[in-house]
Amino acid sequence: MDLRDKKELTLLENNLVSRFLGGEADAFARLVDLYKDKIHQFILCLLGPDRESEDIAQEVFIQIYKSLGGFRRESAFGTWAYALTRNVCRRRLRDRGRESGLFAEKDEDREPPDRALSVEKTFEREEDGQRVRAAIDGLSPLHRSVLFLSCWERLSYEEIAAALDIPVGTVRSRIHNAMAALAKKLKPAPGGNENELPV
Amino acid sequence: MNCLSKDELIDHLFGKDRSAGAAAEAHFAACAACRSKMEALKRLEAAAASVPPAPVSADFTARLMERLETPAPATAFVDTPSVFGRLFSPAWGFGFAAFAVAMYAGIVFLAGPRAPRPASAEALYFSDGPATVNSGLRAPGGVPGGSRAAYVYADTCETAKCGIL
Repeated sequence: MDLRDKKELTLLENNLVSRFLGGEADAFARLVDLYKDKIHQFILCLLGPDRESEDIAQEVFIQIYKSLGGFRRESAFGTWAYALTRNVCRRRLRDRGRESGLFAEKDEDREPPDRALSVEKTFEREEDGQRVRAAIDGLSPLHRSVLFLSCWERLSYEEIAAALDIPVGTVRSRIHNAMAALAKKLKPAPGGNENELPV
Repeated sequence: MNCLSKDELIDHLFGKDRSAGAAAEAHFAACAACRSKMEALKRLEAAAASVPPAPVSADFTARLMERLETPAPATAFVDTPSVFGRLFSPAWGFGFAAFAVAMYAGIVFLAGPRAPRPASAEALYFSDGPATVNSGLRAPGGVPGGSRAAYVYADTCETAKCGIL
């Protein structure tokens, strides 16, 4: 998504929000269509593989539906929606009694052994896309979510900070740590260093 | 220009001036080490961005809109009577009735012929006069042949002065 797309998306979101607040229920359905996969992916980033992820996504959109009247447009709709998603996930984890580890930095040494793939080779074969996904899935929730918001959603530092409820000054180091963790997952067999991050 | 720090490299890729720093670009053209680091970062970013979001099921939006349009299941109607109304509920009615019966039974018992009577003051009175008969006293332990017993007060009990023979 380039910058132009992002501006167009923001305009479209604002238009849909205004129409929904004006009483058009279809406008909300279009907002859902725009964000359902991304919200679902963000939930998976925060919670990991979860058989209730779609139910949680539904719960998030119901919350959005109820709260949209109070959306003051101080941030983009997406940022607001991600922050709301984070709260729903946090509440769900609290209900399950395991909230504490959601945004904690984890020791990546405990992750399963690397698959010894270089990034170049990753793009040579179709099935290696799944290996990149597996490598990302093996990261901590914090690293997964910050990578999703920065690399896929291309949010700014401020937007990522708002979505994850962390200080803006922390975002850069979190991105760096997440990239380093991903590089470690994807790095070649011992001896190779072509994808090592400049740490 | 000096080599870029890791923060500067991250800023170059993710910060506000994504890939827009002319000075950084000039440095990358001249510095193979920084160029290599930036390329490694870009490869990682591309790898992370190559994983599309996991799609939800096809009927996700339809199910959601159906849930939103369907009113929440009505909870069972519970008629909460007023405080005054609650006073006349069956439980309270039975309670009042039981209380009234108990009160009536108590009054009848206390006012009836079998009600316990206080002992006559005469029983405790030591008289110096002639012996009299007090018919208001009951004999301790009862007296065969009748519920009342005659006791004679006299001054003749020299030892205890109890008045009872």
